[in-house]
Amino acid sequence: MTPPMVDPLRDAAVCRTLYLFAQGIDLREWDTLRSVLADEVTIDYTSYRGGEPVVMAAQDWIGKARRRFATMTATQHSMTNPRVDGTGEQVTCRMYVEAHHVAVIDGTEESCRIGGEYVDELHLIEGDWLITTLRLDVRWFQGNRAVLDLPTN
Amino acid sequence: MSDRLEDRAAIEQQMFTYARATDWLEPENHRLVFADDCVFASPHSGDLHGPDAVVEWMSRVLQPFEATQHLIGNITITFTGDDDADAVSYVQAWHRYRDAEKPDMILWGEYHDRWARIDGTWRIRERRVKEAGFQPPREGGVLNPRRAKG
Repeated sequence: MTPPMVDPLRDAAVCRTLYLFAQGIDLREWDTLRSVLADEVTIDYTSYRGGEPVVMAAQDWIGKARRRFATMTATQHSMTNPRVDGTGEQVTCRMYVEAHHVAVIDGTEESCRIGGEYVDELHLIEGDWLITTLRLDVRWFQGNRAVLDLPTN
Repeated sequence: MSDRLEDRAAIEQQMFTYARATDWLEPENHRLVFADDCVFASPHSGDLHGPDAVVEWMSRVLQPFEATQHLIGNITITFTGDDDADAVSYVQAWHRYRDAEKPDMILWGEYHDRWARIDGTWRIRERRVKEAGFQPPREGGVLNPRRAKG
């Protein structure tokens, strides 16, 4: 076995896309979130939501995300340990994530942390690395999981 | 800095390979990271010499855990030669026990490394684990890595 090849400039650009993804969610910067997604995105959260992966227009998925995260007072997606594999204009990026979610339930602040890995596919589209597949492989939960499933408006 | 960009990226990737090898219980991938003459040292392991000892110890101490996750960050790399570097990185290591009665354990600490490029691949020649704190709190370890350096 040999270590994976690295392409520092490409890998930095790919990682920047994923860090902006986290920033878009955590700071509720929806334009930033939109800027890192391709027009159509495959969403695969089946590791903790079940079901099947779905293909959605980016704007529609952002609408769902806005409603979901509106139920929470704060989130923070800490992302690290990136590994970028691929050649040409398509790569897969594996990135550790620890996502901290905070919400008020019945007047009490509750939190839930999710640990796992994003296994995302990105394509080079008009000079930018954009997310075309968003997959979250959950490894663990800690805290009150009700925080993740509060009713949306 | 830019003239060593590829070397920095290669060392960082090896740091992440170490984390994944630990978290996915892939002992063979630990061998990718450590030099044949490596030393691995933590307050719990003592000084381990060579990849075989590292893999054996890792496999044993990780047995009680159902899952772990090592988040690596704040990486600083200082090149001390064409094929040598020192590095410090932060680690937050989350551990879930197979015994559901035991609470999750989190270690915050630092890796203090010496790296060497051997046959074209950057490998750890020495890794010393400095423990900054635990949750839940417990005895042992070094409370503050900087304090330990004097």
